[in-house]
Amino acid sequence: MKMMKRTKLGRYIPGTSIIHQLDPRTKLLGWLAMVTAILVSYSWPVLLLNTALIFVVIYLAQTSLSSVMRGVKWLWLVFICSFLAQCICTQGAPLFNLGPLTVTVEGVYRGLSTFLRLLILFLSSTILTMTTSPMKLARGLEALLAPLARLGVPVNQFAMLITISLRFIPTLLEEAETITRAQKSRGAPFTSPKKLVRLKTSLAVLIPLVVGSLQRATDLATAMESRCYSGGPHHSRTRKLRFYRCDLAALCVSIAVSILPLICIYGLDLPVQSLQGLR
Amino acid sequence: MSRFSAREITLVAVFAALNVVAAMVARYGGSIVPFSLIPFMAMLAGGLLGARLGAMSMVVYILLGLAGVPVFATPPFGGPAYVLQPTFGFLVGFAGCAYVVGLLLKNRQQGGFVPYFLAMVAGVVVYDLIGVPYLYVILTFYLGRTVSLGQLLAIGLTPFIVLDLVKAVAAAALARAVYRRLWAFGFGESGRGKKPA
Repeated sequence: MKMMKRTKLGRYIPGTSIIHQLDPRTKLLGWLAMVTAILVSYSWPVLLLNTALIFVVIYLAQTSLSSVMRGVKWLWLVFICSFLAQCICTQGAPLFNLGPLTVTVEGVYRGLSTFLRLLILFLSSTILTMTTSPMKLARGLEALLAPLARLGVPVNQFAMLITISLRFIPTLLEEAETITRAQKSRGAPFTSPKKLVRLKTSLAVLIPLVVGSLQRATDLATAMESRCYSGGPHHSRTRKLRFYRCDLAALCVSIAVSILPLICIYGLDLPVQSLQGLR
Repeated sequence: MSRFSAREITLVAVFAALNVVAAMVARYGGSIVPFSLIPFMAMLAGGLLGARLGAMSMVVYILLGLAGVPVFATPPFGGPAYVLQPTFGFLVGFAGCAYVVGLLLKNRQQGGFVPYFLAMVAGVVVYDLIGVPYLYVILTFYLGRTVSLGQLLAIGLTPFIVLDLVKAVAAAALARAVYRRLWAFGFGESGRGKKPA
């Protein structure tokens, strides 16, 4: 079960909070706004506003902060390393000396802003997948990308692709685990220190897995074909996406917090300026 | 992009899911070095599904990861920030790898071990050609480290090249074996018409 536990990070947790009930399109757009904001701008107001917003969202989603933060555990190391590297390697006014190393003011600023950006990037996508079921996410994506269908991109089929593979991941994981146990009980050396041996053992799991999943794929295809699936944009759904008033409110909030500051601070030529500000 | 049939959709989707599982199986192996079965899966995808579908399955896998599903082999496992990971270039390279392998093996699935192996080696070359420069770009321009060519190869190429070749051998043997068996069971004719692979 170790495998299952490790994949828990970012997995959908069913709930009835206001964030859970939002339309997936709203959440996707809000997430996109936030990611754009922090990727484009390094300035403090933008970063702090977005950090505040993400913590408000976590609070509203009624997920415990610790379960979200558990995922960050892995990242602390990356964060701290990048922070230290930025502190030491950036040229600028010296803050204090640490032996041969000089910590500069610019370095600390830059390290902190990198840290906040990584944190926001990580938390925003975690909270998105934690409060939206994969199926809803796929449907939201399909709805948002629908205009591309006019350009000849098979959006519906693409969404179907993503939906099916999301659906298959747990099934195949379970199968992989069953096969792993079967091989273990036959004495397969899964924890051998030799890489080559481990590769061989992994292969002993993969071969039956590949054959089994190809079988599943053909079965599913036969089922779809016999129900006349043609992949067009005209197939009906059991549940339609609805855009409620609270979705509109949420969108307004996310635009106000993420996008407006960008325009207010920089006007229209923002990417160039913010990059210069960084140097 | 052209349209896909139901059969192609399911094959691509299941292979993308297989990639996810393979990434986790290797993670389960508990190694410190980013030792991953994904290159192996990319070669296999190219060999079994063909150029178009194989590359498509890798693209779907990458998109799943970028959309925030934790499917990749190294932390943070997913999310758009993964683009800035030094190793992301290899993921892009895997799509190219699947495509090239599929292209080279077109109409040659009935052949012996050698064409399979050569195609897989070409695949390894393709993803290293995409992955190592990407590694360099990220290290230099994003993380602000300067690395020489020698260091770069020591980080991204030399420790893996032998294992990659082993994976190529394994992928060649496995793809050939699976393909022949599927063919024997009539998978090729009933399933994928005249476009096997």
